[in-house]
Amino acid sequence: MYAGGATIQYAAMSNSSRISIPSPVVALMAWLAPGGGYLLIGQRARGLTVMFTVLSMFLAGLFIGGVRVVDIPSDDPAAAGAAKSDRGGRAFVQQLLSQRPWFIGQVLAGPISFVPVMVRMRVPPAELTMRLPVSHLRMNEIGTLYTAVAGMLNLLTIIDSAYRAGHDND
Amino acid sequence: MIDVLTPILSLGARSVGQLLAASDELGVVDVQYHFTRPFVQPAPLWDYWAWLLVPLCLGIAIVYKCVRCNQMKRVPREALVLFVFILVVMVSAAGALAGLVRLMER
Repeated sequence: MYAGGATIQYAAMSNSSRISIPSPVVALMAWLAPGGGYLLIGQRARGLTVMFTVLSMFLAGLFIGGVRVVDIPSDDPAAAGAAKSDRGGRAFVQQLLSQRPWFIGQVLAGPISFVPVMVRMRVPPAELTMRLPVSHLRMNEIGTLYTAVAGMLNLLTIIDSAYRAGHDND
Repeated sequence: MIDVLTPILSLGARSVGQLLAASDELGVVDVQYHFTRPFVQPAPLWDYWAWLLVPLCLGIAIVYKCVRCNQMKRVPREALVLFVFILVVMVSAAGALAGLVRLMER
């Protein structure tokens, strides 16, 4: 169901030249690129500020705690076979929720959150500790906090940009 | 088992950085941390972890005010006020909890 849409009116255009953007599209764009939802509905300053801040926080988290602060529980055999069976899929979700719930927050920062996971998956398990060391204690906690908070803040902007699009805000 | 922690701690090491330095000084084990791959290795910021609260609060304040304010020109001022407010509350809470712990340790 179409819930509404943003109307962008360019100064050089007449009133008839309006582009209506559905809220779900704005929300999707806001997830794909933090701040992208605002850019899509014509709020450039807001979009660029959000983009810079959210991406900076996410990258700061990776810098502080290393690439493995963003991780999925794939060390477990049940999780490794997640794609193979429905039982594995359920086990994976259970494990994700019980062991790494912050990954859900991290994913909300957009597709950038899958980059560390892909990097980790390309490294053979035997070389994992050597090539991609895990941070511990506070560095791990703070790195995780930065990346998850960046994702949660992006969730705020996803909701807000979709709302603004739906209510045709100026 | 050889007790390596006692001589290290006797040198006054109270943080991870000091622990590494003391261990190296005693020649217990080669614990030099070579930070050569940013974003892959954890950054050696363990002695400054409390200061990492500052950019986190700043980011939260900016994004929150970007969402709340209708006019972007109001964002810098309001974000600054919120940033200071969060910091003051966090530091006050930390101070209160530290005081409570010390009180209970007596």
